[in-house]
Amino acid sequence: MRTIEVCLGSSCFLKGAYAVLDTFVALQRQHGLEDDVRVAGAFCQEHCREGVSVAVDGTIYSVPDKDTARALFTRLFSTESTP
Amino acid sequence: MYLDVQYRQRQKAGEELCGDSIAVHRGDDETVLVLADGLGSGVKANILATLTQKIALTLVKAHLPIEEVVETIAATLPTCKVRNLAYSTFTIIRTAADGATELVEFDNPPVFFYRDGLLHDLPRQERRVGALTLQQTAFTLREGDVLVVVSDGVTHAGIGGREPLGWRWEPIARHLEVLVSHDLEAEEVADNLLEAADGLYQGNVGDDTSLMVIKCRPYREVTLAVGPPRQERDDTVMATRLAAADGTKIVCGGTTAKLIARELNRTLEVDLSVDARDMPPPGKIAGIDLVTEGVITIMHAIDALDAVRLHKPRVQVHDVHYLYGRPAKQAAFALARPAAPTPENPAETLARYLRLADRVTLLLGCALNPAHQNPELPMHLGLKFHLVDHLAQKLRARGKTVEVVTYD
Ligand code: FES
Repeated sequence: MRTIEVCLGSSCFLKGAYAVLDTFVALQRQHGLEDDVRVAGAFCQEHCREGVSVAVDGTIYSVPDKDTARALFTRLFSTESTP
Repeated sequence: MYLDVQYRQRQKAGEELCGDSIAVHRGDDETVLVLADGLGSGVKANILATLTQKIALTLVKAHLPIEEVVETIAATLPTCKVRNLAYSTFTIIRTAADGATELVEFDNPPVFFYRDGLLHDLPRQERRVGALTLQQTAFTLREGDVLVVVSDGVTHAGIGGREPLGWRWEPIARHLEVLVSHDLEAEEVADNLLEAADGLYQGNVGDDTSLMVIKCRPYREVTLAVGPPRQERDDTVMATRLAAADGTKIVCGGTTAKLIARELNRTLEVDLSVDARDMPPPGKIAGIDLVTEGVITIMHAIDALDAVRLHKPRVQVHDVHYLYGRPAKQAAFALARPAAPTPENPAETLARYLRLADRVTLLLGCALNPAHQNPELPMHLGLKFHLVDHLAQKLRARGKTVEVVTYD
């Protein structure tokens, strides 16, 4: 099971972390990946400056908006690239 | 067992001072409560009531027998020449740490006593001390008991207005019974009673109105850790103190939550089951009652503090008079509750815990801004100190004992 953890800490919250979380949840459903990818919230990932911080399988990405979220999802989870 | 004492007062319309006087004394091994009602209103009544209250309190605290207290009051205070009446009525309650209670009443409306949510009669003995006839009784208070003391401004509420005969003792007793049977907080009962009396007076308070609600319940403590300590070795100190604390344990702040979980060797999870989008979500640590984000949640909690719902209602009560078969249009007051209360967000949960607390210990960590934090956002240390300070002030203003322990 792969994981997407969206930081919902103080800084990331103010930068719109819930919108990013919602985007990942929608994409997960859209791609029918509920059993393969776990989308969760997280506390401060200690990268506040680059927030919204999103940890995918432990690697931290900076995802400032929905578009970046979509692009990241496509890059890491499109069917071809799923191991 | 703790006596939660809440009182409210209104002076007669047009007067600058209330002619009733209330004293609450908490000693090491006893609590003494006095409500004195000076004859008449305004300055004179205020002086008489204050004098009576002070004498009663001083002598009761000195453990003088009640007869001597009353004799002293009777001897000190002249009777009203015009009406030939003793000029201040009073109620004195003394409760020892084990709940043993003495009640002495002189011409105030009889104290209302509730046990298990029901009105109970306190068998009084009549007693003459000099020219005064007193009612006296001794009993033992236990957890859940509620006593309500009022001046006649409450029993007379509405005279000349909505209640030609005044509100009167019996209807008040039944009104209170509904409130008490819902296990409301003493402050809620006090607010409701005052509001009801105000409603009957319709803005024209005809007599000094005082009320005191006493509820016996366990003492409530809250310990709240906010912010990581400056010295790393204090992490353990803070976590140990929190874990060992009595009562409710709260952690505010993501970084603080992480260190507490780490120190206590427990897991920290984000709890997304609470649907509150205007603040970061709460978390979960086993053994900790509430885990929230820091400054944003505390800011919302400060805002929510005054209006937060203290308990989830067990039964929906719209109109107290309705329960007693009186037409709704005559209802002097209503106890309205939303039909489906919206779920609590973490700030409201925090506010509720703090409102219900008698003692709050704030464990404040003073670590400098971690390097990872964003300087553009107002997450800086100054804001956190300011918020904690503001919160402590608001809690103290509500009569709570607040201790701030800093780790710097
Ligand atoms: S709040 Fe998201 S990384 Fe710090």
